[in-house]
Amino acid sequence: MQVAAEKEILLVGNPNAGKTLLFNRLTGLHGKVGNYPGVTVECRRGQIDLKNHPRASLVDLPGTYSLCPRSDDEKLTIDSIEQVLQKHHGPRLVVVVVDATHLERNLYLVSQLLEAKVQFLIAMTMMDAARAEGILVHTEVLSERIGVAIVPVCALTNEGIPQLLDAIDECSTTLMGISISTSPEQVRKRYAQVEHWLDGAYQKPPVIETMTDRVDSVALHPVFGPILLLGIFAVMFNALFVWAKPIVETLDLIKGGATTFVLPLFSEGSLLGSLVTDGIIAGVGSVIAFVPLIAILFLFLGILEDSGYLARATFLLDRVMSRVGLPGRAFVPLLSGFACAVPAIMSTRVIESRRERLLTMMVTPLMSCSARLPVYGLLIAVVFSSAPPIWGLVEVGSVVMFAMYAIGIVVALLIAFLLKRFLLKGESPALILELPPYRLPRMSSLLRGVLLRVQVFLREAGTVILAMTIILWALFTFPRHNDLSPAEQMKASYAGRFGQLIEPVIAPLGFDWKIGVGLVASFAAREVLVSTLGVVYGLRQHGEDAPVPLQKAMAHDINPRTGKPVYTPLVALSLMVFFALAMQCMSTLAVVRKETKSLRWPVFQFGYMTVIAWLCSFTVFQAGTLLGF
Amino acid sequence: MANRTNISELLVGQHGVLRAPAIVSSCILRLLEMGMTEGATIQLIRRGPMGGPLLVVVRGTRLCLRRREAACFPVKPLPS
Repeated sequence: MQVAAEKEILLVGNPNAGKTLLFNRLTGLHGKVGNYPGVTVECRRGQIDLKNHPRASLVDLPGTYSLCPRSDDEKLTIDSIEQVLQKHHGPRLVVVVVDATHLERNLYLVSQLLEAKVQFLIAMTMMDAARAEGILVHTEVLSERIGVAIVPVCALTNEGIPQLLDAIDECSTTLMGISISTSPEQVRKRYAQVEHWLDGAYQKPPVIETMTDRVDSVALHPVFGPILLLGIFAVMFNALFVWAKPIVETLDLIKGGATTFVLPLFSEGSLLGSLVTDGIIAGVGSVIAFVPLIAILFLFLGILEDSGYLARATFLLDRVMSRVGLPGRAFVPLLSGFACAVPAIMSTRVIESRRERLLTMMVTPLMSCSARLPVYGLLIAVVFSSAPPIWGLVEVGSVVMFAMYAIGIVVALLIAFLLKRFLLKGESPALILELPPYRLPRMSSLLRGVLLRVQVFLREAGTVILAMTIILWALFTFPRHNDLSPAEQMKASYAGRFGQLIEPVIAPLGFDWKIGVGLVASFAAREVLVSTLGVVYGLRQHGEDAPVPLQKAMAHDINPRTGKPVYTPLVALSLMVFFALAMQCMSTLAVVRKETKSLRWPVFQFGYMTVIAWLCSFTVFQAGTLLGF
Repeated sequence: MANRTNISELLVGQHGVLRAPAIVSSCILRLLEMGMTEGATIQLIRRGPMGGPLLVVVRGTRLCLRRREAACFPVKPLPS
C-alpha cells in the first residue's frame, strides 16, 4: 500500500532566471545565488508550509534553456522532473520560473513544456527590473493565450509571493512524461508560437543604451577590458596582503594573551598545560588568526559573482582558454577554485562535453584555494614583512602573493595544454554563454556569503585541524625525556624521528625535518602546516614567560649547522611553491572520484600534482641556491 | 554575394536578419533554441580581442559565441 506522500514542487526555468532567489524567499533558506548562468548545479530541497499541504517540499533545480539537455547540470534537471512525474505518489507541481526581462527566450521552454503536455504554473520574476527598463507585460492577456496561470513576483521585495504560495497550494501537475524531440523546424515553430503569444501583450521601449551597455563598452573593450581585469585581480591580491595584515597581527597578540592567561591555571610542567597552550592555542590559534584573509577573499569573489562581471571575464579570456584547449565555460569553475576546489569541481557540470569537463576538473585544484592562504600569509609575514616596498609603492608581500596565484594558473594552463594534446584529445567545443545585465551586489547577500565561508573555515579549524594538532602535539611530546632541553626533546620525539627519516627526500627542496613533519601532516588539510609550526614553536618556548608570536619565533630560528636562519626567503618561496601545486586535499579527491565515477582520475590527479610540486620546488630552491640567494 | 554573409562578417553595431544554418550540429541546435531562429534580428555588438568570441544581441539577450559557430549562420545585413 502506498502512503500518501507530501506535495512536491519543482522550480524549473532558464539559467539565471532567479530560481534560487525565489527558492530562498519561499523556504527561508540561503541557497547560493549569483548573477551568472549556472550558479546552481545541484538539486536543493526545502520545506514550505501551505494551507492544504503543510509539509510540502520545494525543489530548486539547475537552470536549463531546453528540455533537450546538453550538459550534466541540465540533464540532472530533466531527470529530476521525469523522476518526480513518474515515481512520486503524492501531489506534484512544476513551477516554471520566467524572467520578465528576457521573455521571448524564457517562453521557449514554456512552449516545450506545453508540447509535452505537462501542466504547470508560471512565476514571472524580475518584475521590478522589467519596470525599470520600461517593459510592460500584460500578464492576464498572456496567461489567457498560453492557457496557464501566471503570477508576477519580485523575490527581493516580496511582491506577489503570497499570491504565488496560494497558487502553488491549489495547482498540481498530473501528466507523466516530458520527452520531446527537437529539430530546427520545431524550434522555429515554437518561437513563432511565442511571438504570437507576446504580440501586443508585451511592450518594450525602443532600444536605448542601458547602463549595462555603457559599462560593457569599457569592460569588454579590447584594450581597457583586459587592463581592468588585471587591475581587479591586482587590487584583490594587494588587499589580501595589506588590509589583512593589521588584523592578523592583532589576533596573534590575542593568542599570546590567551596563553599568558591560561598558563597559571596549570601546575608547572603539567602535560595538560602543555597540550592547551603549546598544542591547542598555539596550533589552532595560529590558523584562526588568518580568518580576516579568508573573509576578504570571499568578499571580493562575492562581488565578482553578484555583479555579473564573471561572464565578461569569460568573454575576455575565451581566446586564451581555447588556445590551451579549455572550454570557455571552464572560467567560472576555475575562478571558484580560488575559494575552494570542491564546489568548483561540482560547478564543472555546466561544461557540455565530458572530455572538456574532465580536463577542467584535472586542473581546477591548481587554482590557489583559500586553505593555502594561511600558509602563504604566514610565510610571507616571516620572511618578507621587513622588506622595503618596491619603488616605495608595492609591498613585496603582495607581489609574492600574486606570484603564488600566478604560478598555479600558469601550471594549470600548461597541464591543460598537455592533457589536451596527449590524453584527452578532441576538437575544442563551442562557447555558448549568456551575458547577464549588471546588477548592484546586495550587501546582505555578500555578508551572508562571507559569514558562511568563515563559519566553514572555523568549523574545519575546530575539527580536522584541532584533531591533527592534538595528534601532532602528542607525537612531538612523546616519548618524554625530562633531562633534555625542549629543542632536543622534540628532536627525539616520534615526530622528530619521523621528520629526520624523511629529511633526505625534502632536503633538496630546502626544508628541514620540522617543515617535513608539517608537510606530511598537511596532506590531511593544508592549514595543518600552520598549526604544526604553531605547535613546534609553541613547545620550543614552553615555560618561557613571554612567548613571542609564531612569525617572530620562526624568523629567529637559526639552523645550527649553517648558522643562518632556517626560513630564508628562498626556503619560504620553495615551500609556498610546493603548497601552490601539491594535491593536499582529501575532500577534493573524493569529489573528483564522485563526479568522474572512477578511481583512476583522482589517483592520476594526486600523482601528477604532487610530482610537479616536488619538481618545481626543487628547481626553485636549487636554482636560487646556485644564484646565491 | 549578400546571401553568403555570416554573422561574423557584420559590421560592429550592424543588424541583420538570420537565415537557417546549412548544417545542424547539437551546438547549432542549442543556438537556435536560444532564439537564433530564421527571421530573427541579430545585432553584432563586438568582437572579442585577438580572434576571440563574438558578442551579439538576439531577442533581447546578450549572447557570446565563438566565430566558428557564428560562421554557420547566414545573415541578411540590414542597412545601418
